[in-house]
Amino acid sequence: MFDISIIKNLIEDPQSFSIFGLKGDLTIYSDLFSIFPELCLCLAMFITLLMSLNKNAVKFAFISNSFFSLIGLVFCILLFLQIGPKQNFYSFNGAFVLDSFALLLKGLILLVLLSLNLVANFFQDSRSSDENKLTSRGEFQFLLLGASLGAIFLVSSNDLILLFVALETLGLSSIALVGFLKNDSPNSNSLSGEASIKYLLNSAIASACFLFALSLIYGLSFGNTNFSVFPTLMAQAKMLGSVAQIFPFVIFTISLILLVCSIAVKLSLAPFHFWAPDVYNGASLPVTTFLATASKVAAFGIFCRIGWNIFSFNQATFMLWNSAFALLAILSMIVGNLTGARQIFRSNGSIKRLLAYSSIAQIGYVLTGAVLGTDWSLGQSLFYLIMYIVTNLALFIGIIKFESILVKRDIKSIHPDNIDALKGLFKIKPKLAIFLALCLANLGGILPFMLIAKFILIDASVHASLSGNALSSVLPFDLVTKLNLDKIPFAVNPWISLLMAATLILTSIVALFYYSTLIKKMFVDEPLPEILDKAKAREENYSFSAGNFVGNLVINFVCVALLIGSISFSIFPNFWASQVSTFSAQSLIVSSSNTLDVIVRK
Amino acid sequence: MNFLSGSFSSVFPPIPKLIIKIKVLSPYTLSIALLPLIAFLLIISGFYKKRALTAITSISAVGIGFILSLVLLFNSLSNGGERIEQNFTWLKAGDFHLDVGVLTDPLAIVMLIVVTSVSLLVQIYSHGYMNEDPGYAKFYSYLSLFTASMLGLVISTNLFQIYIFWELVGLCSYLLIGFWSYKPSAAAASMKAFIVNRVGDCGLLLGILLFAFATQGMWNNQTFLGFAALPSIISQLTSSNIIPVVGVFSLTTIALLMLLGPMAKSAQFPLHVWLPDAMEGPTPISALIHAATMVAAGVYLLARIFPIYEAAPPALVIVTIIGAITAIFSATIALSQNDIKKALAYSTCSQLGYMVMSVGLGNWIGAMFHLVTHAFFKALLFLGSGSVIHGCHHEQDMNHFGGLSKKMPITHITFLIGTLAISGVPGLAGFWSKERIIGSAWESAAFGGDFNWVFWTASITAGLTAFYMFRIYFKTFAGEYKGHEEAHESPKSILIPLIALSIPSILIGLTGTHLAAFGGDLFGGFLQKGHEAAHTSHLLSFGEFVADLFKPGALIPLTFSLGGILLSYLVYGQQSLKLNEFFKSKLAVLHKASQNKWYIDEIYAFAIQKLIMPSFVWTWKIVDRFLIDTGLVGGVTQLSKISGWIFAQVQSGRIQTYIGIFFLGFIALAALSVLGKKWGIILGTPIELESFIDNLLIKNKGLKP
Repeated sequence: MFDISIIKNLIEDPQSFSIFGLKGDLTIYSDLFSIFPELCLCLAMFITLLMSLNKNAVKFAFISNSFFSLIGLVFCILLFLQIGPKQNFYSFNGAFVLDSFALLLKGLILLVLLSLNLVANFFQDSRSSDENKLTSRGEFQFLLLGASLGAIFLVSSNDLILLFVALETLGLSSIALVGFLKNDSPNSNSLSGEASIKYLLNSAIASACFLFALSLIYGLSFGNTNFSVFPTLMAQAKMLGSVAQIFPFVIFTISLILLVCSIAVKLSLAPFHFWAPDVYNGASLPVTTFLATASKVAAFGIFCRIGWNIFSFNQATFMLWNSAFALLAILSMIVGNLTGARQIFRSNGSIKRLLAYSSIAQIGYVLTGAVLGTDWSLGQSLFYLIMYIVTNLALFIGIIKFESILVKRDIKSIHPDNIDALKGLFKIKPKLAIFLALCLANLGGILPFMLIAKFILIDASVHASLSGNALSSVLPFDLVTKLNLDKIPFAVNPWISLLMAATLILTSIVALFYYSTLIKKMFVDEPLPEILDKAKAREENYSFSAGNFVGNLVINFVCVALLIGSISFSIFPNFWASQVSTFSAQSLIVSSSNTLDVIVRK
Repeated sequence: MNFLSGSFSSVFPPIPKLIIKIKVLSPYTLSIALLPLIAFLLIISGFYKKRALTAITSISAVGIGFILSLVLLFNSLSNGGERIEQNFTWLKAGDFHLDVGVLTDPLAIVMLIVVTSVSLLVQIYSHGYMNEDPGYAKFYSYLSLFTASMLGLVISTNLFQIYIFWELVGLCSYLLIGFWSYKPSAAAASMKAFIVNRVGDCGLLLGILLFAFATQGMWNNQTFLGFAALPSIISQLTSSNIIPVVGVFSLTTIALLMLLGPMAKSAQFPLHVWLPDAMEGPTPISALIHAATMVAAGVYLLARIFPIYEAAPPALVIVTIIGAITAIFSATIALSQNDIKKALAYSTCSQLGYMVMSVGLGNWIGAMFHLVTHAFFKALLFLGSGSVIHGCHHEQDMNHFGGLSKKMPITHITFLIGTLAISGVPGLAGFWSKERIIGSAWESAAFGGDFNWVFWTASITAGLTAFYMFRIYFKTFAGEYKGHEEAHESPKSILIPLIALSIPSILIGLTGTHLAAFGGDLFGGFLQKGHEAAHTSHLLSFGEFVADLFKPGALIPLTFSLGGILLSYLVYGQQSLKLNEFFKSKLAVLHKASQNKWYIDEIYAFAIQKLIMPSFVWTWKIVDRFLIDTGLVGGVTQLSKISGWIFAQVQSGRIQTYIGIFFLGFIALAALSVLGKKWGIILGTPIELESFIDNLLIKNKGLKP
């Protein structure tokens, strides 16, 4: 019988591996087994390249891509269930780490990739012609896989060099993906090309900062690039008793600030977010989806890895790191939501821009828990992240379906990206309208799903401010003892965490305003005459075509699966919030402090 | 029957060791509640093109539930009423955790049996009754949702969970009262039911929150607000004087606030006004929701949280008073109603008053017993009235009935059985359960023992009940037919539930007697098994029982009941006694007051329109119109408009601007790292090197236990 613990044994103890009665020493392969999902994607990339030699074969490349990303996803889930809280597997001389934190984020990225592989094949951008579908060119799928490969390497890299290489793999592939439609739109002044250049320049500056910071850290740590070495270094420094000589903190602080800036660009936190709306707007929808979900997960992964591995050895640096991100998160929530609401007031408001601003604000929410600096609050953030990614993915796929419908019906009077195109959707496509409304309400925190996640985040930050005695001077009694709170040293100023909670609540109202306006447009308003006429004409002479049928079936399946997934969060919030997320967060702490003996063992 | 204990490992083979431990709920009890929910989802998903398939799905879901409930009952009888509870933490934030679980104890099993059996029969009945209705599938989907919610309420393990289902059954009630929402009266009635229930739910929620606040930190490892730990928590509360029994913030306040919920749901005076109007819904709904199950949820809740009331005697007295007032008050209204369903609705109010009164007297087992017997005979009566209405082409006025005993023989006999049962004729279900309640009133020390006013109220109500029930019976089935269209007997799917319900209406009472011949007080013994206090059932031989009947405590109510039947026969059956005319002419004030329901609706209308609304018009203008509409909503809009414009100016599309701001951001962050300590934004700066290596350890990073 196949036992899922085999996967664990394979990595943990390759010397005595046995399956179906066969036994063997697989030590030399154990490094390769630990990057199994990455290898799957590499294989898929090669297959895609080969298939794209033939114009007919490339149409089916998405099947092999989906298959391999599914295998990777299943591997991540099975290993996640097997791996223990203190079982982090290091491979490639400690450069690559496989812990439950990495596995969780990998799972999310592969979920995005899988959904996009399935859906993108049936998407037709308004700017590309029928023969020039995105996926009818192998490069698109190749680049998408490449970006995902970079992302999943990124979340489990335990080494500065690997981190940077993976980051660039993700970044360069994304830039190419954004500019993919540059030749396809002679009439619309090539938004795609412009977006690509903007993304390139921003990424270049961010990468430069990043690399500079890494070089400073490299110098400070006597040429060590491995994250696991930092605790060792600090232990040696303490023994020598002269920390200041070994570690010039001013230089260390500069590298910290540089890293904050460059990661903020990747996470699109205000005021480093300006590229995001332009790039989201210019890229084709599947690429926008990838940038808004998988890319964010990877960036969140670097934020946690660097913060918890490099800067957590000292409370002062850890506080500076987290406080900087806390302030950026507050700013992001305000700027993202208020600017996003503006799209509603504009006559040609764009859905993609709106979602871009919304994702800026949402990342602010996600950071609310993570910056508090305890494993428990990081768990709350991870829970919100899982929920947000799944819901946002579902919403984007709904929008992909919506735009494809408009393009296929050849609507001329309005651009499919215009918010007003959503008007009266309920009368034309009721199920799609209900689906989009559920996703939007979910993001806005109306339905119980995201409400619980938001509640947990607010709870975390209020808890931090209370146990930091933020209100002790204001209140007549001691809240900490009254509410029986644990006095945990949180990593941010209690007033900042209180401010974060307040901003989260207040800006959520603004967010609710624009999400509900979209819902109102879909359900209350009358559809535009042209859209309505086309819908009626279509009903009259409906012709059944197999291609459409399969495409619809696949898209509907993905949509429903994601929706059911996000509903499962509301039914078992404790399972996801306490068990999965906090558990993953704990593995991060272990990897930051307990790695010494692992390295020695290697 | 070990597998019923709900232990996961005994049902399924052990799963490979997962890090995440999933506590699986008692699978049998859970599936009873889940099956109707699945049926609901299947029906609303719109797969069914055929009507019959809808009905089969819904009926089979609840039918399987009924069988499983019986299995649970026999299992529980064999293992001595073991209490099985399984919880899983639904939400956890810090130390605060909310649990959701499945409770299987005798009280829950009794309710499961009642709800599934009545629901099953009503759903079969609905196939005949609603056959021509265009909303047939919608009706079944609502019925399934209601059944699922009600079963969920019954198996809830804590107050938080029960509140969720409490609201869900309220929602279903609203949907079903307004089922024919094209009728203005039905729409208004559904609204009324919803609003009145809101008043009660508000009180219940406040009570739960206050209770949660008072007991926070005391639940430790037990389910938060759970029923299992309730007695011990209450004894801790009272013994350690954490909150007083009487006072503003006291156990009595909590109990009285919580009482508002059952008062609204179980239609107790003065929140009873919605129930008679709720008869605008289809008759199967009146039988299932507004007679047998949902309205009894209030009594069920009172029985569940009885330890709270036990510790707060003033609240218990108020419960009794409210129950007694409701019982007699509704009975007087039922005397003069001409609409058959309204008369039955007031009768329901009156009987619910009995139950609440019984809880107030400390006899919650008696209340539950009356709940069970009442569920069966009242469902029978309502379904019988529905059969009559169906047979007489949707005529509800009793003045147009008469002489139906020949035209609808089966409906006639079953209705007669129900009438005899509710009137308290010895031997039938209603007699036993009423006798228990009135007996406890007779013995009640709190109200002064023998011949106290509660006892007299209950006895007179018993007489009134017999009188008005036989009035309905005689007006409907005796004499000459006064309708315009030809009446006919109903189809089989209507008659089968009637026959099925008349069996428990006769026999179910025998489970709660003290007669040795029937094995003593089986019902009370079963319910008491889950509790610590041992129940000593004194068995009576038949002779002793008859002798007991002639003691005043039993004789007086019995005399009243039989007297009521006799009087009703003389007035409406034989029509020899012109009592009706006497009341109409000589005591017109009383007659009119009764017919107009003591003008309670008018009083409410006056109070709300003339007193409450005008005094709150300024609140509406200032808070709602100005603060919320103009200030909050308008303010948010204006704020986002203005600030969005400002931010959009920076979002120029020029890459130079973006990169410029990037460097400004860098400089700001660098300044923060230097000035952060000075401004108190950051508690430490990197320049300070103290104690940095110790923070490496996990405990300083605040691993939460």
